[in-house]
Order: sequence, then C-alpha cells, then structure tokens
Amino acid sequence: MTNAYTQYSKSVDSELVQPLQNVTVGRRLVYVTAPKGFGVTSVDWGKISDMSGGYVSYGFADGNEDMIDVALTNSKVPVYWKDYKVDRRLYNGWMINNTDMDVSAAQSAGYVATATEDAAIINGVTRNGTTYDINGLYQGAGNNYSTSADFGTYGNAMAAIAGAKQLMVDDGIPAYNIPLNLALSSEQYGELEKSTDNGFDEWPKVLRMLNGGSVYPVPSTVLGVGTGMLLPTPSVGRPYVDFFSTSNFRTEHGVDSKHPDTSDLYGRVYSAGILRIKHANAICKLSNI
Amino acid sequence: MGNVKVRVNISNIARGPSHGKSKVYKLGQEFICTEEEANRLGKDVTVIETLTEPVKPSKSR
Repeated sequence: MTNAYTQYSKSVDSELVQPLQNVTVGRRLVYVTAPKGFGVTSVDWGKISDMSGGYVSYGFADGNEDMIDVALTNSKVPVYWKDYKVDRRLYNGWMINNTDMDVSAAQSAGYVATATEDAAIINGVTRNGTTYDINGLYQGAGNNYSTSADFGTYGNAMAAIAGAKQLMVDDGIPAYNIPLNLALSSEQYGELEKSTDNGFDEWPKVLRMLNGGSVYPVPSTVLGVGTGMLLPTPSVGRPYVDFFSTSNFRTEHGVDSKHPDTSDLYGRVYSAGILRIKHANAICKLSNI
Repeated sequence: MGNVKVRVNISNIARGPSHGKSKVYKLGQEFICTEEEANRLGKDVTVIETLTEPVKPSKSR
C-alpha cells in the first residue's frame, strides 16, 4: 500500500507544482538554491560587513590587507506546511478506474502553505505581529525610503524609486547598473498601474528605472498597505540575498491504521528553506507610499 | 500622540514631505519625529526619549 500512496503523492505533486509556481511571489524575488535535502535542519552562512576604503598610490605597499568582515550566522531551517484530507472513495475511484484525480484539497492546502512561505520570505516570521523571529526581505532591509510618496499621485512612484536607488548606490550597491525588482503591497500596485498624467502612463517609466526588472504585487496581508521594497533581481542578487531551500513543495499521504481500507487519506503539503540576507543594504524598503 | 527622539538602527533612512527634498539619516544618527512615524519605522529606529509637550496655561475667564 505504501507504494500506492507514494504513487498518489507523486501524481498530486505533478499537478500541484505549476499552480503553486504561478502564485508564489517570494521565490521570484530571490535566488533559490537547489534543494539540499529535507534532513538539513540548519545552515551556517556569512553576513558581509563593510571593508575599509580602497587605496590609491603609485606603488603597492604591504600591511593594508583587510580580513573580509564576515559575521558567521547559524540559522535553523523552518518548514512551511499544511495538512488536509482526501475522501477515501475519491481516492479508490482514482485507484480502480484511473478517473481524474481530485487535487482540490491538496491545491487549497498548497496555496496556504505557499502563502506562509511567501510571508516568511517577503516579510518575516512572527508570532505576535511585532517581534520577528526570522527577518524576511522587508524586515531585514538595510535602507528605508520613508519620504512621503503616495503612489496615488503621478510621479511619486518614480520619486520613491529614484530615492531608494540613491540610498543603495551610496551604500556601494550598483543600483543604476543592475536589474531591480519592485515588490508592492496590492493597493500601491493598483495605484501605480492606473497612474497617468495627460495620457502619459507612469508604469513604463517605472519599468525603465528598474533596468529590466519587474513589478510584483504582494497581498496586503503579507506586505502592509503603504509599503513596498526595491531589491536586485535573482539573476544578480545572489551575493546579497538568497533562499536556502532544503525541500521544494511536495506532498505525502497516508491512512489511519485503525481503518486501513476505509479511512480517509491524510495528506500534507510542505516545503522547507530559509531566507539568507547576506548584505542588507541591497534591499531598500519603501515605507510611506 | 506626542513626539519622540529616535536613533537610527539601519544604514539609511530617508525622510521628508512628498513635495520637498528628503533628508537622509545614517546609522547611529538621531532625530525627532512623531510617535506615529516611530511606530511606522518599527525596528529601524530605537526610541531613546519621549518628549513631553509644554503644558499650555489655561485661560482664566
């Protein structure tokens, strides 16, 4: 029977992956490592601190070496998961008649688990809403463009991005030369989408300022209304931030051993990984938009 | 809500009105803002002092 459940889980996985990839935002904002294995429960990694300034002279001299200032950090790898039940008769129908498999329960659970992972990557992990046990991109940002720039007014989105890029460049992040992604709370995304002045849309100008990056909407339940952030795209952002993945989204299924032939199927969808912000100044939050 | 004095905990915070030049406060710098703004900035700042507003004398009739 174990093989049948495993086979069922594989079938669900194949139907689940694409829909979940369509809704996840967090994994599109950061470089995601290849899964290292579910058994990896913690990871050692280095946070880059600043070095002293460079030198200019007509020759080289000894004694000016800096150690690369790396603060070694150990992070536990959390699991993002949700349980669900599958009606036993539907499962048996799939087994016997090879009818279309109903993956709605798994899909609903998958969406919830994805939202949990998204919240962890984008904002952070908190139990009380104020103290963050694990910083996400927004909570871990090293720069904050807090100048009042309501995206409901034409020009403010461009002003906010220009201001944020300036803060990043002053910290040594080449924001004018690398593609950047802009993640916005859903309300601000809507405001930017409709922002126009005498027939000139703000959207294409914003895209031009992102050097090839994109704008992503984030549910306001994850990224609060009036906030957003600017950060390098995953293609160039790996030195600054990544998501250390130990497991992609997968499912497992089993039955209650008291009723092995008739009990509903118990399912679980899960993923595991941790966001590693190696250089916080590469992320600029926009906190007053 | 009153005003508070805060210290910056991150690399940079840019503040200012929407139609004006923003001012950048760097790590360790202090500034005075409303409690509301301090709450919005969250852990990017640490409140180091709550400023008491001067009490206005009541007008006698």
